[in-house]
Amino acid sequence: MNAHEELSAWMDGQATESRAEHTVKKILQDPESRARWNEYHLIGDAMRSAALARKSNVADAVAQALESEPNHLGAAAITSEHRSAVGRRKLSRMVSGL
Amino acid sequence: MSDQRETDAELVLRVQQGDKRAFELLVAKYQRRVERLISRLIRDPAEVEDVAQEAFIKAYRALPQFRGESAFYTWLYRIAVNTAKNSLVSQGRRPRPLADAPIEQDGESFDAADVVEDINTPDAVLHSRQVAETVNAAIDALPPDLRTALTLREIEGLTYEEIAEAMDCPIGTVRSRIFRAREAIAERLRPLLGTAEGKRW
Repeated sequence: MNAHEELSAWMDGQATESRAEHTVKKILQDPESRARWNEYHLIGDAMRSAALARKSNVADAVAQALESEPNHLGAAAITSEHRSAVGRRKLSRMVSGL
Repeated sequence: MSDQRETDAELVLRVQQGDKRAFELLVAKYQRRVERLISRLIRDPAEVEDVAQEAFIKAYRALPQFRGESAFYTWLYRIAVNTAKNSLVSQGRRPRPLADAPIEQDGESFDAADVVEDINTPDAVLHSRQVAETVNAAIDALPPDLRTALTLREIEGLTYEEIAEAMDCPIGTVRSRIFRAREAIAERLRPLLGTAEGKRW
């Protein structure tokens, strides 16, 4: 399975369960994947409204501003073992129930 | 498109666990919609951009308190509207009158093709028109199966399962068609965005 195809499915909330963790990490870490994320979302926006068919400078500006912001210190990162045991459905219930 | 909520929730969780990059993905996803929303209240495009940036930073700072009771975008749009209103109040100005479309609760319902023309510089309008035309031309050039799959996803908001049913094909085929459609359009868009493949925006 092509990595970018996994990304495309994941952004639609339709990722392969067993591959989801790997896919998220890749999107977060790999510049090519991030570029895809940006492009695919622009395409969706442009299809839905001509008013959204444009490159925005906001993300770059926010990324720069975030450099001086602290990381949030939540609970210890959920390990992949925990994550796969809990499953994505339960995880999202946890998020809403926090 | 409620199935996207899961993707947003996953990213929100990661931000709450200390990963700022996850927030950047949310910004990349919602920046245009947030700017459009703010542009309903504030006329000057440069100011719209500043207020959008401020709204996202506020959202980042408030994210530990976000409990996921509403969708992330609903929460974000509320912050954006409040940031815009505060910005106007602090300058002793009133919001620009909302002539045509009222603001819906979730901020999703503008059909504001007219707004872009009316607030942006000629260059920005030209750029926007080129992006729209390039996307439309790329969609027209797609094989019909790819075009249908992507349209059912992006315009109609169908899940892959529903698209598979509508197109009478396996889900794996839906995934592949949507992906190939996106890649074909992205390839045509890249020269316009001034981004070589693989380069970060």
